[in-house]
Amino acid sequence: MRTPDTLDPAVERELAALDAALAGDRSDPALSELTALVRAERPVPVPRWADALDERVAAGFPRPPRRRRLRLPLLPTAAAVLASALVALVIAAGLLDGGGYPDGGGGETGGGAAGGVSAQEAEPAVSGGAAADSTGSIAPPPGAADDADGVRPRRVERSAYLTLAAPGEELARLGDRIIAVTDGLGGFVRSSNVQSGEMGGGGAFELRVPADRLDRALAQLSRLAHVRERTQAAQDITGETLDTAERLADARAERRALRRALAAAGDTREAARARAGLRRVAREIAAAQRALRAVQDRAAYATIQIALVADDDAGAGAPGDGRWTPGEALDDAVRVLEILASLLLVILAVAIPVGALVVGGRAARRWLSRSRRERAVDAA
Amino acid sequence: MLLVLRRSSRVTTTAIQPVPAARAGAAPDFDALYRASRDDVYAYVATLVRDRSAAEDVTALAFERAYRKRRSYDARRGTPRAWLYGIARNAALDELRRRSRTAAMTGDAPDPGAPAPADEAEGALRRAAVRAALLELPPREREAVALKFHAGLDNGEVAAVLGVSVSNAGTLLHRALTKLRRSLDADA
Repeated sequence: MRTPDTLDPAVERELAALDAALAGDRSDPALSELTALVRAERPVPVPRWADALDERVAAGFPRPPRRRRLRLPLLPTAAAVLASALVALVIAAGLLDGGGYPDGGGGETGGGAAGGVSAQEAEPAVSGGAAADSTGSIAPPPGAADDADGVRPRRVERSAYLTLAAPGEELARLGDRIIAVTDGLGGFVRSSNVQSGEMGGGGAFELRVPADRLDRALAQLSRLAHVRERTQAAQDITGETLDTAERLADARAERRALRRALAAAGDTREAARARAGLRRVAREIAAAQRALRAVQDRAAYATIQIALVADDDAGAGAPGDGRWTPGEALDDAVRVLEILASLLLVILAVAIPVGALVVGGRAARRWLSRSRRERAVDAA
Repeated sequence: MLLVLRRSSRVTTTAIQPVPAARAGAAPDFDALYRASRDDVYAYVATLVRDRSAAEDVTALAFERAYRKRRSYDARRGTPRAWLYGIARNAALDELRRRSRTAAMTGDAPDPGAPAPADEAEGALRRAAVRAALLELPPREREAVALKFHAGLDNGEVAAVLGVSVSNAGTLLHRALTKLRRSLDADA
């Protein structure tokens, strides 16, 4: 059984005879004559043209000089590359702005969800919030912030948590450096506890630093050792501050009323009742003042809790103030690779569909061109 | 080794001239290919476009394209001759398309060459009969005849140039041959 791609044996014989005749075999005189007659119809070029073409070939088909210009097929490719680069830049800007950067400014992962106040909103500002205490001497808290209209003072309590790892024998020296950093920033150590030794150890610190220096404090503390964990939180305590200030103002207003009542008392019984009221109000005022100071202190100072853990793999030289350690370099290298991988992913996400379109377009163009050429043969 | 039937521009006797076979992935020897096929490519192109001036331009363009693309030649996809004639075919068909857009084709008949003074009347008649039969062939069969008779390609190369199977190319050639035979038989 013959396949559709095979020729009839008679046709094959005829074609073989044709090949033989073309090669000079004269066993079939009619076919030989036919080949000779067909060959006689062969168009021949004029010598002048042939010589000119020979010269061009010998010269390697020199091109006439022309201005370089962007070819039309390059435009879609250039547009795709430009779009990819723009998208990659936008994504990179987002990543570097802290969106995907573990230690970036946007990396607050702690509590404070109710407050939801960003670090920028918590910039210190002179506030009139303490003016409710006309007799007190409470300084404007640096953690306070005003709204855009400056009417409502805002208080933000900020806190951070760090886990620092260093070799066991380095923990004591690390503790000293933590205290030095705290003092240098105008803060104080609320509590500290360090156990150091070659067999291990650990420690815990609770620091209070001015709220407007929290970022600087974290940056300096993070350079002291390998940072295993770092979280930040911010909580809006404006309502709590205002409530306390109003309670103090009410108590003072009552004290003024009681003083007037005492001055106007007609008998000893009324005077005694007024004095008792004044004593009660004095206690309330003192308590409200303490509460107000406490809440303002929470806004003025940020709390930093530090846990020290012994880890011999963290590098003996990790606790170097301001030094760029190999561990940090490794972290930075990993982050750079992460960002590069993200960029590559974005570029691929754009380039693959664009590439598929270009390849498909070229295939369609090739098919269309071929089909038009074949039609040109039929029309000739 | 590939063999090409090389003819002079005025003499129809053939001489055999070898064309170096290209290695897979290697560019063909363009100079040798050009020397062996210049007149054959012209004959094929002239048969397609049926206009001497256009055939000269298209042939030159085809060789220039082949020269510029010679490094992209892939020996696995065909012989250097099939590759070269494929380029020439595309250039010729582009010319035909261009001409069909601008004006109706008014090509002249292929140049038969200078008539031999000693042609007898009988021979002239048979020659005219074949010429007329060639002109009456469908375009694809006429193209296959040009590749086979004028360019000296084998059936596989003809198929590669036309973009059809070898059996289809053989069928085209057989049909054309049958018609040409009939034209001679009718003239006898």
